[in-house]
Amino acid sequence: MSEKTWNTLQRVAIPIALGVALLSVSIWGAARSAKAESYEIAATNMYTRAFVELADTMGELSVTLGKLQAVNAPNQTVLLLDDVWRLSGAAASLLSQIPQSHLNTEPLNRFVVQLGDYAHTLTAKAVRGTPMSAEDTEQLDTLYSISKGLASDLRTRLEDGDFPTEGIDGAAFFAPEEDGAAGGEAATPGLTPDASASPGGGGPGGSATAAPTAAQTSTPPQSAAPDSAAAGGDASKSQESITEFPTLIYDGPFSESTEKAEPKGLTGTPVTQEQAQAIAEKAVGHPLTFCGLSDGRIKSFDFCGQDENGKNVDVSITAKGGHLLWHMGQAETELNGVPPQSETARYRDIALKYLSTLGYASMRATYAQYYGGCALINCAATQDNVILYSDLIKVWVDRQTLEVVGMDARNYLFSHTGRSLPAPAITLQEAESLLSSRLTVQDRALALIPLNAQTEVLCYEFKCALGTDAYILYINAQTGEEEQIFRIIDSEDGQLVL
Amino acid sequence: MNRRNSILLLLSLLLLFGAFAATRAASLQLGSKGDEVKQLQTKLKRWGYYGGNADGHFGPATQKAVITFQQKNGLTPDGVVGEATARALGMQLGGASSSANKGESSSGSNDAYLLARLVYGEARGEPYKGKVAVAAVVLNRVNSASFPNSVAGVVYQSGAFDVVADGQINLAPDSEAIRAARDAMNGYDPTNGCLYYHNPAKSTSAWMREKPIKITIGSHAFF
Repeated sequence: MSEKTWNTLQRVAIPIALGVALLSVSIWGAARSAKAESYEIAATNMYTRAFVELADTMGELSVTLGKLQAVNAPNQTVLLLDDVWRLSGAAASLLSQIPQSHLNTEPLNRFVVQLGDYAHTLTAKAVRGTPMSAEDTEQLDTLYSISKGLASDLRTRLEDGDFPTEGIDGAAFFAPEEDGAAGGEAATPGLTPDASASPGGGGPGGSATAAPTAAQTSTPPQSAAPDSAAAGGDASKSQESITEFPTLIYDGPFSESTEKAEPKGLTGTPVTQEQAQAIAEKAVGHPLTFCGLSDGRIKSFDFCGQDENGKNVDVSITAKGGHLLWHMGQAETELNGVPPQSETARYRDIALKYLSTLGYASMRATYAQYYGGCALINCAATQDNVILYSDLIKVWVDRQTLEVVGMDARNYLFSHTGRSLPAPAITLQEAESLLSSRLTVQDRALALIPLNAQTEVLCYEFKCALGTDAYILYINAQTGEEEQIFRIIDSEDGQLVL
Repeated sequence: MNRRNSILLLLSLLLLFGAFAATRAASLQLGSKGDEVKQLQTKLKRWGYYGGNADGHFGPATQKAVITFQQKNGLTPDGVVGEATARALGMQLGGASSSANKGESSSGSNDAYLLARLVYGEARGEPYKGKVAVAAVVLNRVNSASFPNSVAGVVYQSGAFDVVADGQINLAPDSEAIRAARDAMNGYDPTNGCLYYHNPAKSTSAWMREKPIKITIGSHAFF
């Protein structure tokens, strides 16, 4: 009987089992494939939407820039400039959604962001009643013709269906292939600008080094000029517009001048590596080893080592002047959360005392954060009792051991310089009377605040309450204008100023 | 049938007890023991509220010190270290849920966590300085015209980070990655203003390889 059963099993059950297995694998496979296809369609749809919107936004941008040439009334100018700012933000956001390597989109991204930043700066000027300068008008004209070229190029590509939807493995669209760029070809067909607008991009070849020199002469280059020479043999993509993006002359957070600002507070003569090491070891109180030269915006010697408890310590000393640039250690605990008042005053005192031993006198503790076992105290320099908010040094105090375990003087070294502070033209009372009547003033001070990387203004600082919210308002001590407003938000780690 | 009922009863009792235990764990009071009590005593001692030893036993002396602390800090003087008192002390109690008493949400904490996830994915084998450096590159990009102007924009930009493409970005970060992200957000920049980095041992991009290196930290070259 057992043999008969076995035979039946072999003849019937095993084929059935195999059939069932095959069927279920096929069903599973078909389901997977359908799912993959639906994901692919969804991704293609998102990429297409982003590209269509980008093309539309660039079109709107160019129309708005064109209108700016035609209007005369200040209120129209402000509204249009505001539109440029809004559209540029939208374009930058859409650009980052297109499936292209960041290396390819970088020059166009830079153009769009600086265009918006520039428009925003012009808005601020216009609402103060400053008429537009001839230089600004000229720059706007240039920007108009460039954006017109870009918009029409994108529109053509959209009509031809020639845009990326394939993820980042697809062909480079906005710029040369990564590897192709290394050959020194500065420009290729498409929306690629000359390397002059992109110090970070482009190839290291001859034309890339020549271009920045041209940019520094501050003449906006001819816009949207076909550049058949630079395209080389790679002209398969039949694009006539090779756009050169100009270096915009203005003061804004994304401007060239801000990105290339020199550290003003970096005084003194160059130090040797040995001298720097001695300074670093004195600062942390134990031996360190050299661990590299940092060739960044502030040249420095980096040292590393371990403290007596075996925790890692990193220190950076500026090559010029031998200043402590930063020092990064670790606290004993991972304590988080805001401590009681009785404790916070002590941390501030420790931070200020530490800074005075480093030679930073007349600093004032401003805001604090509490995380990772540390109290981070932000200390600003003062001059004649005026708080200089740009000249900031951060000090990390270990809440367990009450020792300083970190500091960062980068902001201070970038901005500190002796300033000639004007005498306020209006009194504190006059300034306070200009505040909204809804506010309850809790604290007052005189402060120098940065409007942008190049301009600082003397202001009365008012810490105010509005219902349960807290704000800091700055009233220009010369003109009485409201220059700046911050909202203070209580977070788990301390106060955030937004 | 009867047996199944009794099992159900037992289970629900266990659940109830568990929930009760969890709420108990969120506060320290007379009779509590352990490291948290020790931490509490150390703090009270440091600020002069407590004269005894930090022995980890919540006795009458500790209770008295807690009451004094509560009175001085405007808290209900009940001698029990609940959530409010713990916060005033700068302590986090084990059982306490972190979602309660959260401050107003702001973009800051979301950014820090996303940044921590990127740091964990990109640099979890790197020295601490290298972790802060990766976070600093992201923040330098946020402040550069050439890149998207938000942390999420930079992190999720096409082709920018391998760990975003392969999904490692979704791993839960460890405490060191979180600290590195916060340190970078609070100003530390070991790269000294760099916008790019790569691992020269692994990188295949000729573009990356030809750029002059500004600083090398761990296995990453920054420029």
